[in-house]
Amino acid sequence: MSENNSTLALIRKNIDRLVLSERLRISDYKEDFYSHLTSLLRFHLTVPDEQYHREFQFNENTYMGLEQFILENSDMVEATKAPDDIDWDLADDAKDILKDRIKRLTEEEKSDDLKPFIESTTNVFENWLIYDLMHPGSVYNPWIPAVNILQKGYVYFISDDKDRISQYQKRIYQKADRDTHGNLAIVTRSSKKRKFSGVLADNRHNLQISVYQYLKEYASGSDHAVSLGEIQDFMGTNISRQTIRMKVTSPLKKAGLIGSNSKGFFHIATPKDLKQCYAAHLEKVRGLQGTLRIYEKQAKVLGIENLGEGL
Amino acid sequence: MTFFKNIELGAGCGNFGKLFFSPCCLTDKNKELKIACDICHLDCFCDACELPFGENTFGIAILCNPYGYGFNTKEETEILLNELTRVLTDDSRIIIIGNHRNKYCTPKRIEKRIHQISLQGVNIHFTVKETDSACPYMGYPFLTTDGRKTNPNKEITLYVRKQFNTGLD
Ligand SMILES: C[S@@+](CC[C@H](N)C(=O)[O-])C[C@H]1O[C@@H](n2cnc3c(N)ncnc32)[C@H](O)[C@@H]1O
Repeated sequence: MSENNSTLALIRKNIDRLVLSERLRISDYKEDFYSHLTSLLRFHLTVPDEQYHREFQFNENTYMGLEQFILENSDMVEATKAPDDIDWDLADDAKDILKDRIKRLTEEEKSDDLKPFIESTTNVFENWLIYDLMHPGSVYNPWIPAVNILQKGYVYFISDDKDRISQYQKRIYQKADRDTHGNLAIVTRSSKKRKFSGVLADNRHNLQISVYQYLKEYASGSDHAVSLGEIQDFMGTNISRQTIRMKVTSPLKKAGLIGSNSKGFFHIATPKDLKQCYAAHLEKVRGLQGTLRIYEKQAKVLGIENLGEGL
Repeated sequence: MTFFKNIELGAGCGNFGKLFFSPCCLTDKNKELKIACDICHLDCFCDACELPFGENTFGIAILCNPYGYGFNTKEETEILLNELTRVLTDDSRIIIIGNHRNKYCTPKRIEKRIHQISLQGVNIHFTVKETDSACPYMGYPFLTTDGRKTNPNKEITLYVRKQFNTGLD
């Protein structure tokens, strides 16, 4: 048992609050899944490793390799050094609590049918916790979006094993392009018994890598920003600008890897670039805060006590 | 037929066992390594928990940077150690080399697991040391599952003693 009783109590309280979703919708978790993969990719892009010389594909080997690499080298992207000692007992206890909770929620205490889901979900949770113990509250923790999926009421199995995935969701591979068949897929289950949904990752991460590298080389700093059209020309494919924005530039921006201004996109290279990105976002947030305040005022007029309740 | 004194599990694309614990049988679960590695040194493709070798075959079992298998949970540990101690002789060793943040082999976890599980007729004694610059394998290129650099800083040795049933009461 961990001696860190208060942290464990808090974890238990949060796990006890978990419930499975009544719905089973891909749109509930797809963005979180991709965001989790981009957050892992952040380390691939920003921590140099002269040893690594393979063509990147998001499969189980890369997923596992990145997981190990990140947990062992997190200090290279964090401003703080992780403590030498991690409370491994706490991780063990938390995992056990989560395992029991998932078994109870899925009503699968006795069968092994959901074993891969329980393993995958608790593995992700453990990684999130280990990272959080090393770097408390860090936004770089790449398991945050994956834990979000659990908080939205889905347990999941992440793998590239076509046979095992197909046991739960056959259609994933029927619908997908052949060249993505070796990629990672996520299969989820909510409260609906014996029903699953899933997504096979497309190749957006390869596009993210090449665009990031292009910007780093040809658009380093806000003064050298390039337009979406120029990025499209560089990619030399028939991918629409809207798709590039959705699958490539927006996720890279969200991960803090690139910035944008009125001229286009750029690699954040200097403190000036970072300040510019921060200022642009701050302005947007202030605008949104203003709108929220107007809604709150309208709520008072309509006699609504707490507009944000239950959100 | 080659004679092997030792065995390396999850050897990946490397040849650690052959360099430092020869004659050593290199094994890994992933059959794709046959084509994925520049040079494949593996002698046998098998799961560390299901070894195609007889009882009391090897003197040392080596695990470098285990990931995806190892000591992460009590159940996994029990299966792995049952299998390793089956193929190991009496008075043998399991050497685990890894980073202290590797959840599959961090020393604290291994030590805890050893006390959590019970192995029929086997005693295990745990020791751990830092791998410093004096270590003979310091410059060896250890890799993650997808070929990234990993820096192990702990060497854990499990000393294995088997209690043979003498048939005397
Ligand atoms: C992190 S790599 C380490 C490779 C090598 N030992 C090194 O240190 O450079 C982990 C290796 O363990 C293998 N592996 C994973 N699960 C295994 C299992 N159950 N049995 C045997 N090997 C396994 C993987 O295929 C991979 O090659």
